[in-house]
Amino acid sequence: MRNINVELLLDREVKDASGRRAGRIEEVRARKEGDEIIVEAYHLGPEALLERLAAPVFRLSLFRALGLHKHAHGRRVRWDQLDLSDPERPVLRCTVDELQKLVR
Amino acid sequence: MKKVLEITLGIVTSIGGFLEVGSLATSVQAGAAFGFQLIWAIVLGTICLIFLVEMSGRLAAVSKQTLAGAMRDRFGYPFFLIPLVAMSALGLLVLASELGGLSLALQLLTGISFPWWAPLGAFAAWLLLWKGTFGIIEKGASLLGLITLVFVYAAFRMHPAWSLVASGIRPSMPKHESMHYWFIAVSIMGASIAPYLLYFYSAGAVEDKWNETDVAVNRVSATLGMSFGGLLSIAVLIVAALVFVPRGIRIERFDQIALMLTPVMGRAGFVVFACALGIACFGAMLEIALSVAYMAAQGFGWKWSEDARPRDAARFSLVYTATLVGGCLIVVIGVDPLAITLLSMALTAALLPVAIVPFLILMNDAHFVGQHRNGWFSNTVVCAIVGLAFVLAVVSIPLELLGS
Amino acid sequence: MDIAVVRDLLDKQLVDREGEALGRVDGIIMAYSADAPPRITHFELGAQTLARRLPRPFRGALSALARRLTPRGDDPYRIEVGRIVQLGRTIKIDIDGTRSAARKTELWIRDHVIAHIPGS
Repeated sequence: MRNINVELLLDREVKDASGRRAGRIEEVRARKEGDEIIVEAYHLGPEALLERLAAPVFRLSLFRALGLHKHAHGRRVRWDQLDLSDPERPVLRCTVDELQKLVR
Repeated sequence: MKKVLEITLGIVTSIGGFLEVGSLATSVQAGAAFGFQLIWAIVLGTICLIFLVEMSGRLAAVSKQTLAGAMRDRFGYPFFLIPLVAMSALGLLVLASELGGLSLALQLLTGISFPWWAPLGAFAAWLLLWKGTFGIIEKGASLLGLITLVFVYAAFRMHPAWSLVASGIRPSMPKHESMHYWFIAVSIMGASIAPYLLYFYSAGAVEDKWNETDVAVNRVSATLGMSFGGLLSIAVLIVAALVFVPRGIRIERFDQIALMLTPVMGRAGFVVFACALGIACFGAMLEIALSVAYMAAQGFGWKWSEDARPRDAARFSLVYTATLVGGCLIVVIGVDPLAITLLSMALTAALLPVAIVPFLILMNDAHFVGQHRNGWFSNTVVCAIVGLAFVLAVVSIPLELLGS
Repeated sequence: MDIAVVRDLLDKQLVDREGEALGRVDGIIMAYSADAPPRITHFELGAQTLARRLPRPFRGALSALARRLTPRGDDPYRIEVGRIVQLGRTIKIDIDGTRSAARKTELWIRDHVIAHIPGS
């Protein structure tokens, strides 16, 4: 078991085992049960355009801040579909296609 | 009763924040160089400010958060640093110009040369913040600030051709010195649309525990208060136009404007001008120092009440102290006060998007303001005027700097 | 109760039992293991936590500065999630703010700077 800083996961790129990009972590969904907060899923935001721009973390925050991400498609990754044993390189335990699409 | 007090908050913010050295210097420059032609810049700036101040109050009333707090909340931490650093640096510059104005006023009144007044003025402002409460500052500033009405009096006494004044409300192209014209226009807008006012206003609204029932009153308060300030600036411009243009006086030094009330009021006009300048600048200094401290404290989650004793809001008190010290240092170094005033006003206009774009996003986010979101009209007006100010600033500042 | 961690927890204002400001949620600690749902366990506060959130080029210099400014260079302060009393516009924590270590920086500045100035 390890401790991970959630705020450092933001905007980190998520790939599947074959190296295909799934998106960047932009939200963590959880539920509160009594004294515990249990993570259920991660939401990934669009990455293609931003990838090509090679935007530094700063500009990604701006993209999110402008609310533009709400009009783009994202993907939902269940907690068991994401391998965070190396938090700097999150890897999917499934393929990109198996992820649920989010329509906002 | 509470409603009356709220309207007072609007008018107080206006007096302390609107007629200060920035709007005074820019209005005088405009009147002296271009007669009534630049009244439209004051009108546009005031309209934009009314919208922004109203939004600031609405945000506080509905979300119960201040502008700075809501920005950290919505945009998160690294992004928040951008407006924080930009507005703090700008605030320091504007504070220095206010302190310069106060020092000049004291110099005019006593005849003693001015660098010595800066540390004294900064200390007086600091003392008031250290020992005073928000209530005292509000009431004191509003009562004393009424002296600026003398400009309205003077404007009427000089019997301008009112039809000519009215024609100045319509934007027009300059007939001479184009670059200087647009630079002054930009400086006027930067002087009118001062972001520090927004942080100050929303902090006051939260401290006074506004809620949704205050939204309507806030609209009245913002409109009346900021219009009042705009009228003051226009009055200053009219007086400057009538005093300096016929005499062919170009305003190059601060002390030249000291005589602008003497044609109407004789020798007393000199004293009254100095008092009005000093009081307005002092009020602005308090607001700016508080705004910088509010932004830091609210953004980082520290305790930030002005009513609390300094030891109970240690970091907050430290920031406004440091801001006053910093502003004082800038003046003491000997930077020309008129130059720093005009430049900081123009820089304000150039940096407006940094403060206003996040603000607009907040005002359109139902998560914060629920059903009190901005209508398309508010969004359009603000975007248009801020966009205009930004474009003008980016174009005219370099050219003015190169030209001078 | 459904929570969006970034929107509803991160960067939110924390207040103590009396409603007094404690700081903001500068960081969130998640306990991760491969075969169980991760759990959010702590909120983290402090200049060091903030410094680490900056983009790489700025991180080094500001991190060092943050370590220097934090009294006695202690680790960032953490609050257990179990102490949450209420989630809303602000997050209310079951802590006596006057005694809490969350206010360490505030108290340090109070004692070493503000207290030396008369009239505080």
